[in-house]
Amino acid sequence: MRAMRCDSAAELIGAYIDQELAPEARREMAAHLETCPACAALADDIRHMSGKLAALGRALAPEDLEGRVRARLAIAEAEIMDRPRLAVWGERLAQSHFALVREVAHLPLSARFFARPHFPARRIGIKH
Amino acid sequence: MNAARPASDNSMTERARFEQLALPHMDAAYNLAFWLLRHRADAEDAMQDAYLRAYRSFHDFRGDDIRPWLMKIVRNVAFRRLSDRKRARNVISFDAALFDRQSGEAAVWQVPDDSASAEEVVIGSGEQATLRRALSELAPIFREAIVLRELEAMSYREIADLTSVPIGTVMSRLARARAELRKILTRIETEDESNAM
Repeated sequence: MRAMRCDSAAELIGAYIDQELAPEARREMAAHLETCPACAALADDIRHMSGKLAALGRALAPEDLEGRVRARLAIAEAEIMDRPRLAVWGERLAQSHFALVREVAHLPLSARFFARPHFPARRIGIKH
Repeated sequence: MNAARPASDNSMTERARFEQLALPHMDAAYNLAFWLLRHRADAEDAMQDAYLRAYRSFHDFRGDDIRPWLMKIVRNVAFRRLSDRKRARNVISFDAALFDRQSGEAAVWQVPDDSASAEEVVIGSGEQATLRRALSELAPIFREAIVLRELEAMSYREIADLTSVPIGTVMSRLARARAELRKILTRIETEDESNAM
């Protein structure tokens, strides 16, 4: 097992606390935290802050928002109903066609990215 | 998190099916919109806009769990609003500079200002208000990472899928976001201490 350095540990401590590291990286981090008081203190800080953030809870939507959304959807539905069926299908076909063209245009780029020898997740040992 | 798709009833309209699937995720969607925009009225508008867009594209939705697809739409709408806000501020800043020279009065208040919006986040006092203030000061991309991970408890894979970035980028964004947040908290605490003296 390799010894972990503090500078690379700092980047990985959060992922370790989130239980998102691959088993080997997790073992390396646990060993490092056993022997490094500075990184162990940072881990405690992050753990503490995580707990406080989770305790904040969600920002709550106003009670009438669902009603307003439903009303907007009902109007949209009525507009769709009012239009000739052919026009609706034409629009949907155009949208799908656009999405297909966009995906095809991005293919060479995506292929080049995933073909890179050092795909980041693999290099740093994050779970997939 | 993976809500099973309810058995589709042929007698249901497309809108009824959409509502059945999408409305239960309103709290998570609103939370993301609110933290990205840091303004209640803007978040409410963004939600209505996003749900409308989602409904109009519902025929394209495939799969059992609508939540990631819906959250992606909410995220896109919120980021578009953020960039519109930024653009408008730049235009107004120019206009305001011109206006200033002519009459000596500023017109910048007409534009939703970031710091003013952030005040809406910081209601109350105490540790939670300080934390909300610190979170609101993060750059949107880091704020988003923290909200998705800490408030929505999403996995790195889910965040990567939602934000369309590699999982390694999610990890480095979270690491930076946490480091920034710690710095901001320290600064706020120091400011509060010196104000108290």
